[in-house]
Amino acid sequence: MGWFASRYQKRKEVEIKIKGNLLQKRLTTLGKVNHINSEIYHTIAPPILIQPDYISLLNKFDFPIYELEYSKFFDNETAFDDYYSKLGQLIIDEHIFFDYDIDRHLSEYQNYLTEIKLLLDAFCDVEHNENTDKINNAYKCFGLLFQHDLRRFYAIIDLSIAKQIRKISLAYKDQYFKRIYNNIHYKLSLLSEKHLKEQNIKGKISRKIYYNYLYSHYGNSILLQNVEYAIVLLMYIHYSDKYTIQQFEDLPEEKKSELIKTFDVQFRMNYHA
Amino acid sequence: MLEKIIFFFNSIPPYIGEGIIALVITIFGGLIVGYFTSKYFARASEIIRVEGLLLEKKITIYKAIYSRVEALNQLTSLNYTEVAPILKIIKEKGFPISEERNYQLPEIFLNSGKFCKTVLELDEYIAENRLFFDEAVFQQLLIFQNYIIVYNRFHVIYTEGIQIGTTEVDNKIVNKVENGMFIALGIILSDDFLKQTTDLLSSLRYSINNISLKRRKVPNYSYEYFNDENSFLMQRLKDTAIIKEREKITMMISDFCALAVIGNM
Repeated sequence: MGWFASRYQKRKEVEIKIKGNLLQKRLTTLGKVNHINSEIYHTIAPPILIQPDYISLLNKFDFPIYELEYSKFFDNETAFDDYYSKLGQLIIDEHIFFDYDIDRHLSEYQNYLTEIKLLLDAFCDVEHNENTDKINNAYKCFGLLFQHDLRRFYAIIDLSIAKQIRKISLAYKDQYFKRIYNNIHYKLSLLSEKHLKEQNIKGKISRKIYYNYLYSHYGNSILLQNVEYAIVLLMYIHYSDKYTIQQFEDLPEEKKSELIKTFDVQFRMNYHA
Repeated sequence: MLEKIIFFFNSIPPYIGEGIIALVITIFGGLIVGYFTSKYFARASEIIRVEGLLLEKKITIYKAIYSRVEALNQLTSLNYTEVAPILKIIKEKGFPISEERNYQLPEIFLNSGKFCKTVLELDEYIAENRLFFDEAVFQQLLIFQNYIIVYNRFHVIYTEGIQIGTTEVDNKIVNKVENGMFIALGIILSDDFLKQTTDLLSSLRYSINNISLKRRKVPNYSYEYFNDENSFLMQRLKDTAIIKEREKITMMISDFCALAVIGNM
């Protein structure tokens, strides 16, 4: 009995104590994730005088925009970069304490913001980092365009946090079956994505399976589905000091295609996706 | 040899055998109890210890929210002569206001800038600490956040109105008129505002006085929960004066905008 008490029970006691301390750290991490996630809902609206400009610009694209508001960190380049590096730092520092779901969702969110950053960095390079008005305008437009995606990320991450907080346990359960499921899910997604645009029976079945069962929040984000439109939007902003959208559209075809080509070449040179 | 051993055991008095069996049962029983205690009960008690820490954190947050919301309840009174021009606009818009010597309203309504700043800070604080709330407080805070943010919307409507009138927003007359508009809102919506803050304070007080380790449920982000007319949130907000009278209030705000623009001419 004495041996049992001194060996097994003491060992368990120490083990559980350490697990308890780790749990505290995990909860602190969840608090930090929640903090960074809540910034998505710190929104601001562009001044009313320039709102019609945004509306005319955004109406060119068929994106769901509920309110003319964007997250604060889309206000300018510095704010976005700060938020992006804060998220990156959080993932690096606290990665060890993430559970499988939060890890996955935060990685998807980071990938999503990276995609935005690549586009906007390329645009900044096209503008030679000089015309801050145009650059900040591009950030605001992206904030308005992709608010739907961001809100969805907010909801997904908040759900994962709430699940963890609701029922806390000393150690994460091994997500063995979930990992297998996600691997199969990923491979099936790739397979059906291949046939998604086909107009035959294969395409029809792929579309049905893909949109009903394999829907991925990152892969199906408005941004990833419409990268080309986002680049067109940046082009309009690039020429906004010379032409309004209507003036640009009314240009002779030759002139228009020359301008498009010039921007496209400059942009592709700087876009390192 | 085997026969000798059997003979030896047969010759031992029965009470010794019974004693040995009792000892073995005691040892095994002790080991089993010890095993469960160290493996499961210790684990459960450690979880409860951490939950206790969460609870302590929750109470600190509740206290912070409580004091911030209670500060919003601080009342002040304004003399009839001070608010006479504002009362005229209020009456013109059809709000039933009785003539009194003094008008009581929450002090926060005296300064629109301070009001908006306080509301936004409170909103951010609630959003950042949401994960520690229990369900009852979470729902009450959700209602309160959606209620209080409407005032901020009124501020935006006013600012936009001024911008359309091509007047600078950061201007003494514009700020003065906006303060007047918030006093008008304070006079009209004082009871409504105090009801919301009191409901929230009661919910926080109840939660602090009946502490439990419960936390909020997994949130519901469906359209039905937030935007649908029959949703829980809309059901709770639709009877508030700020929602019922929003058209009249918007009309009143445009009057204040006009005053500010004319004052700048």
